Amino acid sequence: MNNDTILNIDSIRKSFVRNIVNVRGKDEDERFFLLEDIDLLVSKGKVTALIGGNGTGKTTLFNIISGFFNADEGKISFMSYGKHVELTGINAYKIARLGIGRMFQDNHIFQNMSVLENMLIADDKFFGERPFESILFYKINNTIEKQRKEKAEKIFAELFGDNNPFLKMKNEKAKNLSYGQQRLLGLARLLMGDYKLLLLDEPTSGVNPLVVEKIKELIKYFVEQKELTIFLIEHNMNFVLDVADFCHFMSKGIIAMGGTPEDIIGNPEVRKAYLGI
Amino acid sequence: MFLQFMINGIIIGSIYSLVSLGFALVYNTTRIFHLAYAVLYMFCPYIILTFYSNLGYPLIIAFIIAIIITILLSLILEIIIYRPLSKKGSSDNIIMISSIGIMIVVINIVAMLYGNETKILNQNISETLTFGSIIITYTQLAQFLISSFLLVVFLMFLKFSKFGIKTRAMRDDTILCSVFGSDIYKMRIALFTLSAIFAAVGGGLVAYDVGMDPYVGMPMLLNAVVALIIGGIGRFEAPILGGFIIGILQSLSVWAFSARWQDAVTFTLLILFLMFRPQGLLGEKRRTV
Ligand SMILES: Nc1ncnc2c1ncn2[C@@H]1O[C@H](COP(=O)(O)OP(=O)(O)OP(=O)(O)O)[C@@H](O)[C@H]1O
Ligand SMILES: [Mg+2]
Repeated sequence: MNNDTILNIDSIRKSFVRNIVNVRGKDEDERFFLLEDIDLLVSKGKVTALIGGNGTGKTTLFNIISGFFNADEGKISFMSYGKHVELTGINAYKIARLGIGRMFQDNHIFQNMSVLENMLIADDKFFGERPFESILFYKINNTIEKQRKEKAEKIFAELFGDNNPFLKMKNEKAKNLSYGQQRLLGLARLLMGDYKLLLLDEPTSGVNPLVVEKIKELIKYFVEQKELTIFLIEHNMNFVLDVADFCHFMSKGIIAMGGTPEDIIGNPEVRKAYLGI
Repeated sequence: MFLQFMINGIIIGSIYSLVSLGFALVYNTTRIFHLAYAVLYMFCPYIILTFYSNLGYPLIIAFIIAIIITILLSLILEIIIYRPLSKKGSSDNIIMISSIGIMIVVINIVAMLYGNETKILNQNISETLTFGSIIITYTQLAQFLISSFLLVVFLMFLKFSKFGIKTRAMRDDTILCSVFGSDIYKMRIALFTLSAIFAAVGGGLVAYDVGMDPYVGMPMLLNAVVALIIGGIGRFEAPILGGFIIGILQSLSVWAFSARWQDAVTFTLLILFLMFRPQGLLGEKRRTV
């Protein structure tokens, strides 16, 4: 793993059990490998896209990276603060603290919490999370709470301008935001943490073209201004062509092809197997 | 007389609120229907009894020791029963049934050690305060002040500390919490500790007034759950509102009819709410689309 690589996915295999009806007409559990053998490098400071048909296991791969699933075989190493860290067997919350941020496929926001609280919870300063801290160190806690709020408001202003809906609705429940706004909140929230790598699972699914443009802008801002690395799953090929530096095509449990977005998306095999054209 | 019953209702309501809040703290965040919570409520008074009546410690010290031991019991349940089951991905029903199992086991152990009959902590008749025609015992005053204090502190805590924000966030989405660096199982330790404190304090305060037997937990748990439902599941203010409503209505039913009507009132209330406002007073209707 050289210095430009932030994430090294090495021979990952993952199986699940599915229920089938066997030749005698009886139910039977069968183990199958969803991920046969995944090898992939994610370069630091770049946008890497992962494409592939529905149900090929892209989200599953993300879940293994973030520590929600254990792989059957293989290992993943991550470059965190200048050190290589093996992610295998580490808990999800620890992986987050190592510097890997995650946005889920469907809008995952805290519905019943305010827009501002959604930001505060993602702060990389964990002070006050133990129940007694906020009582015993009342003064420090207050200062940190104030800093958190300022940080959140500054992020909103930087990303969406001075007079944006997020600042106006900061004390309203997040579920009152529109679907597109919830997605943008999810992205903005990732700046609260001290992340090096962001895993974005289909950031543009289900939002209108205006929001898609905004998301492109944010991703460029994340990479250029915040020096973040982005690894994303996407079905929107125009989006991939516009934002990604590298593209990998997943099929039948392996990375069947990797290269520039133009090469991969233009490849006749990919077009036939995945896009159906 | 009406006023006297009203005040009695508010006082017992503050206890219901406290106990209900402890249950909600676990239920809202982990979805564990923590029936064994009832034995925490019953367990604390017996420890007080041991240290205060049998070993002769001062009441306050005995109470504090009992709270600590109740917390330990609560954490043991979490660590050896609930946590492994959750990690294995067991369904909510399986976890609830194991909770019933624990409840029965602990009740039987306590009954074996201390006997089935009612035990009394306070032999004397409590002194009273009189305001015109209203009489309040010192025990009642302590019940009200201690529970209200805990309720207010907790609500502020929930609103203003990072721990509070995380607790409310867990109610919405635990997976998302871990994505932002929260150790869910550490959070649960804190939650089971707090909830045990609420059960223990509630149990101790009531037992000091009316004594204890091994079966006091279940009726109290039912009140707590009804308070939670009529307040509105999911919000932490809700069990407090529900607790006071039940306390007041029960007390007024004693005034209007007789003591036998207390439980009837609770369950009538429950049925009315389930039929006409299942989301509770503070709850919002779930969006179906
Ligand atoms: N916990 C599980 N148990 C059994 N099978 C699972 C489990 N999780 C995922 N799968 C299998 O993985 C497949 C879906 O994988 P995954 O969600 O990773 O696909 P994806 O590439 O993200 O698809 P999409 O593009 O539709 O989001 C399912 O078809 C299912 O068979
Ligand atoms: Mg997916």
